[in-house]
Amino acid sequence: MSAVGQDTQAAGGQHPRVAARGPAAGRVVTRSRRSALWAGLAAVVAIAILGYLPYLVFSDTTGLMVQFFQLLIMASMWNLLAGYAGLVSVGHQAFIGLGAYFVVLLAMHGLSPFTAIPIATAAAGVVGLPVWWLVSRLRSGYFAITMWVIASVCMLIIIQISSLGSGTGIALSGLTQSPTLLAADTYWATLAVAVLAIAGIYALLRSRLGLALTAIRDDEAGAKSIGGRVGSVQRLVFLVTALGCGAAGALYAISQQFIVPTAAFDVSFTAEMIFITIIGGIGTIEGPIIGTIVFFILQQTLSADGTWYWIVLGLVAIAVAIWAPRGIWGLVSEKFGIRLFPVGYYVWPAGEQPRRLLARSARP
Amino acid sequence: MEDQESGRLAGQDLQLSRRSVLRGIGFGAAAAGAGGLLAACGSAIKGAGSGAAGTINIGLITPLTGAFAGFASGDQFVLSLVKGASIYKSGIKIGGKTYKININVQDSQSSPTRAAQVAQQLIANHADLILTTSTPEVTNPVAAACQKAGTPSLATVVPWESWYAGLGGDPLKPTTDFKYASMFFFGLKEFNGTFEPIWNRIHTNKIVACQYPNDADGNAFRFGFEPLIKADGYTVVDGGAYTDGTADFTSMISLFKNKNCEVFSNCPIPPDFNTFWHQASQQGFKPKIATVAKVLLFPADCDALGPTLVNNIATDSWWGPYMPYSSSLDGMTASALAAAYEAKSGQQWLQSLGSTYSLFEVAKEALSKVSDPHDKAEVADALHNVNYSGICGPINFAAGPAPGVGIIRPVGVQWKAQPAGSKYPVEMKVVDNSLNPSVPIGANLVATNA
Repeated sequence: MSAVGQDTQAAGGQHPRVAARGPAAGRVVTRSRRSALWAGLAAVVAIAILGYLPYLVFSDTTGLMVQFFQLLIMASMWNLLAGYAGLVSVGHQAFIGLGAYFVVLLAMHGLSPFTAIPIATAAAGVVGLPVWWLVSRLRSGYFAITMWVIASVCMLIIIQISSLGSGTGIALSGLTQSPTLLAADTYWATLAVAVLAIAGIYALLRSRLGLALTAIRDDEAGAKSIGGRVGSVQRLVFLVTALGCGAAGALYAISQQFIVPTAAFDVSFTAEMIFITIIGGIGTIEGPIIGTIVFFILQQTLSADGTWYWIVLGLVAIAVAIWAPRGIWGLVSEKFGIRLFPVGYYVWPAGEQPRRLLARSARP
Repeated sequence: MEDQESGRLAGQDLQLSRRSVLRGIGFGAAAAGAGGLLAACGSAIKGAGSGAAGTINIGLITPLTGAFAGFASGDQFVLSLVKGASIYKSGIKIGGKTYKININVQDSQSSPTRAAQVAQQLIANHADLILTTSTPEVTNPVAAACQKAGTPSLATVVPWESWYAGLGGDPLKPTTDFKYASMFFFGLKEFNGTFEPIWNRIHTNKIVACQYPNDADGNAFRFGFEPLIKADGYTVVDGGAYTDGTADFTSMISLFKNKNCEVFSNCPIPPDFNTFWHQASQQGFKPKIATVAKVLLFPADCDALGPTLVNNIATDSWWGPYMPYSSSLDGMTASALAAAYEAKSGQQWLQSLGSTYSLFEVAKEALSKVSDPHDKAEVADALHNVNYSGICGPINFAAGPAPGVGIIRPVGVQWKAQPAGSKYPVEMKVVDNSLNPSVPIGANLVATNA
């Protein structure tokens, strides 16, 4: 099995290739070991509880959750792009900044910032098209650096526009709710975008495209050789990440309320996305979730200590890179065989089918 | 690749994928529906709640790390002093009740994003008052968040025009009253009153090279400072609104050389000045007098350039051991504060010791005037009316150029390279006291480049 390709695990220790040789009688292919129904129910319950949170806890907690979900959206997008489509970008802050400034612009023209979120998201996606046209022929380091240049160009254009506050920054208008309702609305909007982002990535990976993406993740040239349409798949993923980062930027504008170009287009967004994805586990949906939790705990406990915070972040990154190159989730899923988001296949040899299926086949 | 093959060979991928897409959409719809339902029953949202009734929570947001870390290098020391003095040690008695004071320090990481985040966290954690210091990049997002949320804030070490513009006000017509925002420092008029007397005493052609970036401070200088010096007969050569983090200043330096600028003025972020000054030195731009703002305010900034390159560069000083003032908390004099810092840290004194210290003095003045420290409107109002004298000298918030702004009067200083074997390689010496004659002159004014 390849270093990152762990999506398929043969039950009973059998090699998947052996198990899957022809549609032999008795062999069953499933998406997960246990019933996906329970996982789905658990997800719905979790989302419902999260949605109910503003009624249970004070706005200090939901305020932190807003930051958490924003990081999660960004990191999940970067993971989709780098972990699956093989495109390492250090310029996705371009779409964050554009999403933020589209919200500012729409709010200046009288639209509610919350209504502006989907429009700003779509606008960031539209900008993604010509950007992809520019960078699609570039690979690895060239792609990464060109993306960074594009992000800087976007920032340099915005910083010239005096009606958008130029370099001084601008306060977001149109947030007229009471502080209590504003905090709750911001939280719900962020939660909804985060759920849509993760669900969207999950759906994408379980679709036919997901198969192509998994192939590209494992070996781009190999994927091409067996007929994967690498180019068009990468374009789609790039646009999805532009949309996702645009939405994160729109939420950033609403939660910040004061936007400065150098901060909205800050490369440290991408640094955080990379850090989270690497320590969590690149090329898995769970990785960015675990990574965001770890990063967030470190940030909340250590950031008041100044310099030590950065030293600890550096040490964690080095430790993970040396001892757990597939991230924390890589370690966990390897050891316990858990997958929260089943995007691969399990092939069960005859006689070792999962209990659910056995029950149905009414064995004597 | 194995997963790939097995998936394909299993021959079920298409069917499964459709189902999974539908399921994904279902989850999304369920979540959106749940959110909508919850939003519909609006009224029971918990909001911010209330803090412990017997404690006053004060937040301090300061750039402990990042590009502006030099500003904050003495803050932890000041905090340890403050915590042992006056109301911060023994509590404050308001309306027959004694309140303990809890100070929560947060690092802005020199980033506006982080500054706004920690401000919102402090607000949500029932801060009664938020103090913030050092550059608009830190103070403006904090002031904006506090104004929005109705939490009193007090800022310093930011030109009042940059701060006021960041709140959405117009510094040219400063009539808007931002109720929950207050600050003490000085503005472009005081920069002008500090720098122009220095320029006037050096014989120059009165052509000023201006290196002002496209950020809050740079734009404030461009639109507020340039007209002041033009009115006094100086010619302005503006190097252009460059972006913070620029690595090559060659074209700006050639412009300054071509226009034969003999006076130099700027307000960049510290790393950019290091780049600029090295390149200026290499490319032969040697203005007769350089008066910098926002950089070379502290000894640590000088290390990056070395004593030769910073010798006789002038800047503004809002505090120093030479100030004839003392603490309103415990009577400690300015020179004693500087000496205590040097003894404790082994580092040279820096002027942000005084401004950070005064944040707590002003907070004490305001709190001692209110009948309920948790009444945010009352605390905000008290801050707008503080009138006292502390370690930074007299400050009157009611008589400032804009509502909620108190003005302190800076003096002109020059960095003086010290002979080998001295305790510190450079020392900040007062060379001009036009704005504040009560501060004694410490050294002669010397041209930066003869």
